[in-house]
Amino acid sequence: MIKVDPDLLGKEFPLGTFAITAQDIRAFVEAVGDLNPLYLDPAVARDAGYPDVIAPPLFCLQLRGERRLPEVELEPGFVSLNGGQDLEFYDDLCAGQAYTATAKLAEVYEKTGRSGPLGVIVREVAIKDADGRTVIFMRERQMVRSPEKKL
Amino acid sequence: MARSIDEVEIGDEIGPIVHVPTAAIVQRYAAIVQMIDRRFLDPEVAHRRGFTSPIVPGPLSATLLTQMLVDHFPGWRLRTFNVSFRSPVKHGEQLTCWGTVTEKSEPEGIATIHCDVVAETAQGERAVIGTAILQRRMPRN
Repeated sequence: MIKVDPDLLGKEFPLGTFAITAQDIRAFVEAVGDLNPLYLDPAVARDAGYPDVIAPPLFCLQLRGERRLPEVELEPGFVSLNGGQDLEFYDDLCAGQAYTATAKLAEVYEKTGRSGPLGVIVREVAIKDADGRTVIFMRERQMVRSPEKKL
Repeated sequence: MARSIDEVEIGDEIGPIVHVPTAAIVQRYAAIVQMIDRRFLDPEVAHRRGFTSPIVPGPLSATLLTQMLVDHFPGWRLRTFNVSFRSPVKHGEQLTCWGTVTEKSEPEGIATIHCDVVAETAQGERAVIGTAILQRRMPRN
């Protein structure tokens, strides 16, 4: 159900460099209703030792973009689901800072799940600060299955 | 007010916090994160992709769980967050987020709390399950 070029496994792909602004963070937290003052009030963030407001933990998911890179071709008729994410936070993302994200394909395998055969694509995303320090490391599981059983 | 590790006990309950991620909330989230996958918004695309109706993106449900943790433990930050999306959540479906403290320790002098977290539908289905480790926010230079 999954066609993958073996050369893609383990190869690192740049996702880009992102300058985060306080406006980006405000737009995100207002959309999800998470109005913690650390995300909105620079004075509160400064009292906590940050140069500016910080982003909530899962703000980072938008840095890797909606496209799952590197892309993996699925056989016709199969659909994919987000299986889950494992995140390690070494620091907070802060407004006024730039971060660089890279992704790689870590594993591709097939197994039998509750609803039949299942493909699993595992990608790793690293977000680093301007000094090259890893701020967030993420492992994501994309599940692939037949669409016959409606969920 | 930051909570000290002595005030946290294994078995402490977190939440419950009830959310209803409506179509309007999903639309706002999709716009902000520049979501291009129409299965989260368009009934026809959702049906073609194996769903009975558009669903709530897993990361949005996961965001509600992280919000609950950060709000419950002021002065603490997430160190790890592992989450599995077990079943789809439809727009407008009630999601009850809750958690439990499973462990506490102070490795290398850093106060650390382990938690299990769940986002459950009104039917009692655990749509999202996960674990988290929180650490006290350390003073920064």
